[in-house]
Amino acid sequence: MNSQRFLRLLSTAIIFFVVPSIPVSSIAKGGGLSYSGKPNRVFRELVIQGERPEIVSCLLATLENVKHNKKYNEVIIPDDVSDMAIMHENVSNNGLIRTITFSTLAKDRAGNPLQLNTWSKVMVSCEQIEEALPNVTLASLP
Amino acid sequence: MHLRIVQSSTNEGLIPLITMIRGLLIVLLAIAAGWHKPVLAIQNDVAGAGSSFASGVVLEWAQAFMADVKGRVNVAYKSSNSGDGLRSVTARTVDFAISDIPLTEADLRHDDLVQFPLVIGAVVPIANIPGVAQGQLRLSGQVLADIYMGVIKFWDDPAIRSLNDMSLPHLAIVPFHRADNSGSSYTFTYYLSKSSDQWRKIAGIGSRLKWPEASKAVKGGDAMKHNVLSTSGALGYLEYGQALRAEVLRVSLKNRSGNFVAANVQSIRAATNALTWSRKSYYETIVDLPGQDSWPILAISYGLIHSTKTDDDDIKDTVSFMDWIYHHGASIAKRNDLLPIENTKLIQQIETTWMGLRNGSGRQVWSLSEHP
Repeated sequence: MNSQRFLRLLSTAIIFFVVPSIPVSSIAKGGGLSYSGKPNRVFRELVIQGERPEIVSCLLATLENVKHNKKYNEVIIPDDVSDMAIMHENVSNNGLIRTITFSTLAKDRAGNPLQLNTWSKVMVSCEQIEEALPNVTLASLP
Repeated sequence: MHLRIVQSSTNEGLIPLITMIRGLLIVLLAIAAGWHKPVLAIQNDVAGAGSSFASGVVLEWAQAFMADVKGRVNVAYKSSNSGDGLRSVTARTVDFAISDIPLTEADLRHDDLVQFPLVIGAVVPIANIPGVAQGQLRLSGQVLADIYMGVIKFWDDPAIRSLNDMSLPHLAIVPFHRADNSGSSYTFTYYLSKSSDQWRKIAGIGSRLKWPEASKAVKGGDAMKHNVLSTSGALGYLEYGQALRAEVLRVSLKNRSGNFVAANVQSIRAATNALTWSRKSYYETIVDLPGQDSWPILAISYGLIHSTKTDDDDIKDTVSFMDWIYHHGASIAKRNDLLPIENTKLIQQIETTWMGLRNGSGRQVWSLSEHP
């Protein structure tokens, strides 16, 4: 029990001293993690950093999306996303539908390697139907 | 949280150095963790954090539970906001969180969390208008949204006068909102979003969001109460029981049936008739529920605990406390102007979920025989 207690305090100390220093954008540039049904490290880090709990699944799904997205291969989660993301909920025939949108920058997968700036403005939309994992779309903005 | 420091005898000769160092380390760690009084008998500590909305009732429940188990378990609860509770339980620095920001099944699965409703209340708009008596002021969701967006700036605006049969002063409206990750903000903005297309477009639903510039930020429920009470022309929102005890002006609202209703236990109960508890997460839509006399802004305080890799004693005592709330906590909830969960079928369903809780070795940690 004492060793358990020690490990618990140690992990708490690590979480409080190390995690707050990780900027969200660096997690984004790390490429994202997939949902495996096991506790998700990035989800925990985002919640512990104080992001709005109700949008964290959307942020995670966005990071996952760019791993397979045909057009974009990286996305930045803005530092002010918790203030700026707009969330709605509706009940329709399909059940409960939650929609979260925010604008940000995404990197074009097919960008010219000689071109300095391959990042462009996008609108991220997450649609979560009946509490399932959110479906994400990235639409380019003018 | 679980702490055992057993007093050792010094009459057994020389204590090995390693035992001394280990003992010293335990005491230092205990002090570092915030236990300033080392416990000299076996006692389990259960720690929780979160919602200020539910803080009054949780603290009373904890006192009564501790008395019932004759001090075998110590329950501590840190009231701040729902977001803080979720942060703390995610970091596993507390054994349970209480939150009015409902998580979806997808959210819960990301961190092996179990969510269950503990108590139901309401969020009430509150105001400070000299000359207006309790029960007189009526507003609609659309008008509230227009005030928060800065479209309506004075209490004698025609849109407000059209809802009220009384004279109102030409006094500037000072709207306040919570700046922390607040369950009350989540619920209140859910109502604004449901009532106003413009609000949906520019702000939406959020425990925290970018409020329009017309609104002033305060941190915490207490600050909301004090600012509204001390500012002439103020408008804010608060948990019903807290608003009642603060003797602040509570606003009646137009409900889905088009009737103006005041917040009280009857109108809150009328709205709860529409709750189904059909989802595994017990997630419910909580605003603008049907019913002639239904109050339009419900709030549900949820308990959250981890379902795996839990410490046996910690989780047993935590769940025993939660279970005690369902079986013995109703009168305390009612005394705090909240509605307890009394649906037997729902309680049995929640207890079945708890029987699925597992420790680090994958062994079941709680069963119905643990009833306090």
